[in-house]
Amino acid sequence: MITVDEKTALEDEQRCVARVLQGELDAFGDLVRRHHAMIHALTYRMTGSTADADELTQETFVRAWQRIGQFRGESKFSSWLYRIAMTACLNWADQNFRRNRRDERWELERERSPDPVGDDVSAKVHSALQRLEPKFRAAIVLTVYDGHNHAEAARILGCSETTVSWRIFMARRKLKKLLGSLDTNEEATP
Amino acid sequence: MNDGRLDDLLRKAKVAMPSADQTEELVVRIRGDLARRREIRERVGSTSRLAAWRWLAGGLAVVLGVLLVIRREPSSVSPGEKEVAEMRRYLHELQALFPDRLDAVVFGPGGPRIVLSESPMSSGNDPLVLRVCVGHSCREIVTFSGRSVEIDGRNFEVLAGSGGAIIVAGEAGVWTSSDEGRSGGLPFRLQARHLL
Repeated sequence: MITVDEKTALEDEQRCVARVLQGELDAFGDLVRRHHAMIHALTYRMTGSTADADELTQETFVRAWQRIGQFRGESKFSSWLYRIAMTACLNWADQNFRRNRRDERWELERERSPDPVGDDVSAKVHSALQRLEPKFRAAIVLTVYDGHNHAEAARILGCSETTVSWRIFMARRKLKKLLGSLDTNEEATP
Repeated sequence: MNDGRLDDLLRKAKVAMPSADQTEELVVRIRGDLARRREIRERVGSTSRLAAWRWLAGGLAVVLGVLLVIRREPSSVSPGEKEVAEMRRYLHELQALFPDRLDAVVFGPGGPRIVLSESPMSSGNDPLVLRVCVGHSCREIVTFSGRSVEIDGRNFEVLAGSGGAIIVAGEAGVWTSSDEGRSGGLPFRLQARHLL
């Protein structure tokens, strides 16, 4: 059920997209403002690095501008943008040299500023996420953080629903091992 | 830890939301990025157009060059007056050295080559100069009317006819100086003139 506010926001977005399709860069700026937080959260969870997240966020929007002609309006603009961002993140993760750089940067960033939010749980969770295979991490980010069901996640990742379920199962198993101490601590805390 | 507890724990990990200033910075960066990409694309496009024009101009220059060479080729086979004077001097010296034995002097890329007859012959006949071009390789042959010369592996008789005409005749064909610019059926190009 869509609320009135949501419907208005959706219509605004459609008008904005229509202007962007006419080549209006100002209208594209409005779309960036609307979706920056969502794309930044996704890229940060996928990379574990603010610098890389910023880079990938920018890359996502630039790609979206370049491919706006391919957007047919069959899905929400945000879903289309999300898919671009996830593809960018997975491509980024596939590049070994960047992964190595990220590992070094991740350690450096942890030393300098452990986590942008600043709490220990966040730092440990983000660290654990980075230790997952990128595709496993993507499955967790899509389902746990962004609320997609397995079928939607499968569409975004371009694989079968069964594969997504298996990836989530494997990712959870590893995360439980990595974050088990946090759970114990919490139970121990009155 | 069950799945529910794990998911709760994962969701506790917050991500710093970008501030309004950071969003505006991003918008500026994206605009700059797009402008830079557009500039590069235009520059590459103009470079490609420039390269295409250069190729076209280069191609035209080559075609013009070839046309000029083709047009100038008949005159280029003719030895210049300076060369002819040099040949005359050379011929006089050689005739003095090998009286009645000089058959021909060949001026090729490797320098002059003297061809002597096995038996003494009268060298009082009209000295002639032939310019023979086989493909892009040319050479001058100074010989006398009535002598036989080897051209491209075949023997030809060189004769000075009445009225100044020069005839080069062999099994491969006959060429006369009135055929100037034509091969006369021979597998090489010829030009001839009297040396004196």
